[in-house]
Amino acid sequence: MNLKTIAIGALALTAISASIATITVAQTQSNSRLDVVKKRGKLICGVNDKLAGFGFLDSNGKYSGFDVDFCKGVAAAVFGDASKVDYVPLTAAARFTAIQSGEVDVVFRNTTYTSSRDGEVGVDFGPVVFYDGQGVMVKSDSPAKRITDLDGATICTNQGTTTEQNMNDYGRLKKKQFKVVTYADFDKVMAAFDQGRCDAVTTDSIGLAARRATAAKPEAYRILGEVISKEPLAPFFGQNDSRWADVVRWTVLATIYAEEIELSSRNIDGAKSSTDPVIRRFLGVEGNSGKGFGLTADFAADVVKAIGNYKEIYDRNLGPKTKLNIPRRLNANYESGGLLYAPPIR
Amino acid sequence: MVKTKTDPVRWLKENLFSTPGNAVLSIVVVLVVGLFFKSLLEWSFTKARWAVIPANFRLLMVGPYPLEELWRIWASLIAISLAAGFSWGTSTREQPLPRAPFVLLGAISLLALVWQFGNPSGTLVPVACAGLVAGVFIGRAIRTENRIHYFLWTALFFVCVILIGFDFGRGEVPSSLWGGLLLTVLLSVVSIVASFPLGVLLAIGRRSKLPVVSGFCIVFIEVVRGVPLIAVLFMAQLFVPFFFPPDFPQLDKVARAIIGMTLFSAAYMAENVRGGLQSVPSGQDEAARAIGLSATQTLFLIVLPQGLRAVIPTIVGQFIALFKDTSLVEIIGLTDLVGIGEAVRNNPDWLGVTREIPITLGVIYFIFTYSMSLAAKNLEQRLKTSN
Amino acid sequence: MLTSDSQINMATRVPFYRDVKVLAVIAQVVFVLLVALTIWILGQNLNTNLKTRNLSTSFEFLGRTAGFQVAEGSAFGVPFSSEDSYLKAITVGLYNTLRVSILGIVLATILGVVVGVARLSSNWLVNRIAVIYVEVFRNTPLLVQLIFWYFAGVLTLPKVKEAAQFGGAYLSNQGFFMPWLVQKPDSISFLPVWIVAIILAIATFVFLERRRVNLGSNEPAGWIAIGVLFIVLVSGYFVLGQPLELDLPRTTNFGIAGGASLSPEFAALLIGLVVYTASFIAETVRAGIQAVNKGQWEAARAIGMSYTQTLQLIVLPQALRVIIPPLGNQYLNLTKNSSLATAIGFPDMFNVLNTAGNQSGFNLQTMLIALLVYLVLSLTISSFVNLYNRATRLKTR
Repeated sequence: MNLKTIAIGALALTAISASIATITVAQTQSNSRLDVVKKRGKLICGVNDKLAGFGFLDSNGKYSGFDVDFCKGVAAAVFGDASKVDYVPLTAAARFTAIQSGEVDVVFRNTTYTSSRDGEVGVDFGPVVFYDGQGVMVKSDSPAKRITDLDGATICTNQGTTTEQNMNDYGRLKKKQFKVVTYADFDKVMAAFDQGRCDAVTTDSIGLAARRATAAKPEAYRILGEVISKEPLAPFFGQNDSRWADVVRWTVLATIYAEEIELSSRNIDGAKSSTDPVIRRFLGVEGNSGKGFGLTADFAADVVKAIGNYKEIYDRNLGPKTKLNIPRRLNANYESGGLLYAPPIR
Repeated sequence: MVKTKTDPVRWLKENLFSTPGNAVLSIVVVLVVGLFFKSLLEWSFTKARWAVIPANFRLLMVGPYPLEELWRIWASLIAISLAAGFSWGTSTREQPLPRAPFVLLGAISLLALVWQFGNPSGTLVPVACAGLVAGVFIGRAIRTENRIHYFLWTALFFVCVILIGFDFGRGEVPSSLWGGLLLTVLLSVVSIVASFPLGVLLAIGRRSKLPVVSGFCIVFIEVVRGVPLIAVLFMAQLFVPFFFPPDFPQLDKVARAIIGMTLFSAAYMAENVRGGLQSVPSGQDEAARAIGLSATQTLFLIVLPQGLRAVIPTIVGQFIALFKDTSLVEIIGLTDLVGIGEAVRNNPDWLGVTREIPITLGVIYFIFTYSMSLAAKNLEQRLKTSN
Repeated sequence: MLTSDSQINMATRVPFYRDVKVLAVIAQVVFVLLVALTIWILGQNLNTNLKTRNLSTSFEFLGRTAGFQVAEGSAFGVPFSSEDSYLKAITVGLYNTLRVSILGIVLATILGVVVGVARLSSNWLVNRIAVIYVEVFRNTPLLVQLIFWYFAGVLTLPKVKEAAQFGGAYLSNQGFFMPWLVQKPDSISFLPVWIVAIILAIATFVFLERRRVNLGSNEPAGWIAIGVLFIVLVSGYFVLGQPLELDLPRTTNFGIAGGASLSPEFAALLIGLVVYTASFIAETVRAGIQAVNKGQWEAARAIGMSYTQTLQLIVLPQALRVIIPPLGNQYLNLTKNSSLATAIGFPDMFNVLNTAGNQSGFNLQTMLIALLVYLVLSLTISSFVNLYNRATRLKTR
């Protein structure tokens, strides 16, 4: 009777599964993401692939941009090698689930830092990498001079963003009717805008500037002067993992601090011989700044060597020599009237 | 029906103007269709910017796959051509060699040579065509058993997957760089192959006399068939990682899409296979039991082979549906054929190009699905006559 | 026979491990254990993962303020604003899904039957066009078709400033706007009149159809029913003191307001679903008609019925029995496929759930809701089809 074999086989299977189960359950003690990343030998970084200047995938399959550079920075901090990154393109709607599900280690994707995202969405945020605000862009021939002129207009934006809600709040505040139409990604928003489905588009000012700068005819668009919200853009990662949070945080801060103490990718190799104790601590020659969260003492030097200081990153992607040419304003160093201020690395 | 040469006037009278009503209908249809084709032709020859297709052809075919690793794709393609030729050759060994396909292949090679002269595709397309032809002759020359095809294609499947993704000294090609038609084909082939055993198991389970087993299978099948694929894909993206221990190696987006599509496809496969199993006359089952085969032996040696044979055309039909359905991964952010098409359509360099891309994508899908459905019809006919 | 059987049983008692019944029970128990174990392992992992990531599994977020707009639709008549709850937003999505599905099912059936009949037409041209239609739309993905209808179809209509105008209606790529009767403020609701009128019309139709079948009378039941609907609506309008007024669309600074409108997203989704599903329905209809015995055609024609009469009165009713089950499947597919609305920005249920999940962070919950609602929808449709199937089954006496 073959049923007997089946029965025996099934019993054996049960036993095997049971033992696997015990192993599985035993292994579920939570590790820091840092250990996972180190074991894997590669950082998996969630980025935008459609926003020139921040995160963009060119037709040769190469990622570039401001956010992408910070991904490289984190890889340099962990491995001392900026090339050890796999990029995962994420839509606005998919970015939080990518962290929740553990698909990516960290997301640098022009994301606004808010309390509800920090509190409920199941992610934690790193330091702000870019201070932005929400703007509105119309066609050059539009009659609208201010946002309130857009009463009754259709405004497009992408789904699952703070901008979707801000536009609503602004309409309620000013007693104006905005018809908000949303699409899953900003490419579709721009396509609908170009075809006349919407009278205006709204997103972070930097996003609008990037879209305008890379358009075939930039003069066809006009960005309205007002900014209707605060949009501090910051990286985020899984919740309650302070070692991993430290790594991301201090990678960003190292670039800001490097600008303050005038260390750049060009002079950092020569700086080893410096006698300035601040620089010596930054380079890990003195003290052991990175050891506390599981990195090497010279992690900050690795970061700056790989991607440069904040100014270099900014100029490379958004600065006057690029198509975007966005003035630094809030994103300047505190000594030049901006908001960037890094705690000391010591 | 005997085909005789009728004069055109009579043909028109019989087929278009048989009754006054029919005559009016014909004239109206001619006018409407004429107008449609006139505007279509006008648009496609004067307004359309077809240059967007050749300019982005590589993207549409393989997405962001790195240029320096493209040899992997070519190698797979040539291997597949050889194998396809071989299978074709062996299965048509008894028949005279038809001429039309060879003329077509020659034309394609010539076209590639002239149009892409100097580019790799200019030389590699003819090589692939030559591989196909070589395969045909090898297949006709060698005496083989039918079983070799199963081994050949299974082996080829793994070889291609390894070739496309794995590390050969210069690093692997991560799945985030697979795209375009390549990703579409990979997703659909891998999912249908993986869903086959699962579907067969579910079908057997559903027929089981044990109420617990059949109940479980029925619930799984009906739940999956009751929800849209896009919901299954989102669930797979979202939920799958939650079911693995935290330090389990992360499954990438493509892998999770495959898991979703496989589970989805398995439920439909189960229903198709069940149809096939039901079509096997109960006399077969009884006869097998009568000569002393056990229940398991009867199932695997008698019922299943006959049942599966009967549903091969249906499975091809399901593969066609799945091939079309892979387009949904665009919504979860993968760069399959549709995803890349959308990226190209939204590229500021090609502002105002709206119809050209969807039409081209439609044509590419049509070529694949229509030829597969022709193959399915052909197969059905052959199975009918051989029974 | 019985005695010899029991004799054998007595002689060689089957040991329990060879008794099919016992083994069946054991196998099932083992199966249950295996399934339970798998679920337990997966559940354990799920639990740890949810805990380490600090994710909640409660559904209380449904009561919170949504804070986002839903571009169109209402919670079954109750307007939605961004101050309302997530639950209400999801209800609006469900309403939109039902709206597009029901309308789509009706239109796809009509188009499908027409194409299916055309596929069998003796007119060569009509026949060929039907074949081309079916092959083209069946063999390309719905998503590609939707993208085409939306971005390359509806959105290439004239811009709102140059909207085409006819008889008070406007057609532009921000939507189709037409004059519409709306409730005057502070007047008695007209909705009950609609309900009464529809019920009466259906009742009339059913009554006349029964009479036609039983007595062979030949009233145009459909027209009479429409007449009843019209009479009830008009008389209700005057009885209630003219509670409706005509709302004309008018151009504003931006776009057009007033009247009834059809959004480009809705239009594209509807066209896409109808055209795609009709190509499958056409094949079903063709197969159904071909399944009807040829003798039926010949007999009907012999007693002097016209082609249309034969088709309507003899062939299609018989073909329906073959057509209904696969037709039900197509209805199911259409409803499920309406979830592709996400790709073109139409706020169907799946799209709204997705937005809700992203805005609140409760993605797991919203996905579960999506699965559940689609399951209920599917089961409803398939039970309707089954009911119809049972009602029209050939009565074999």
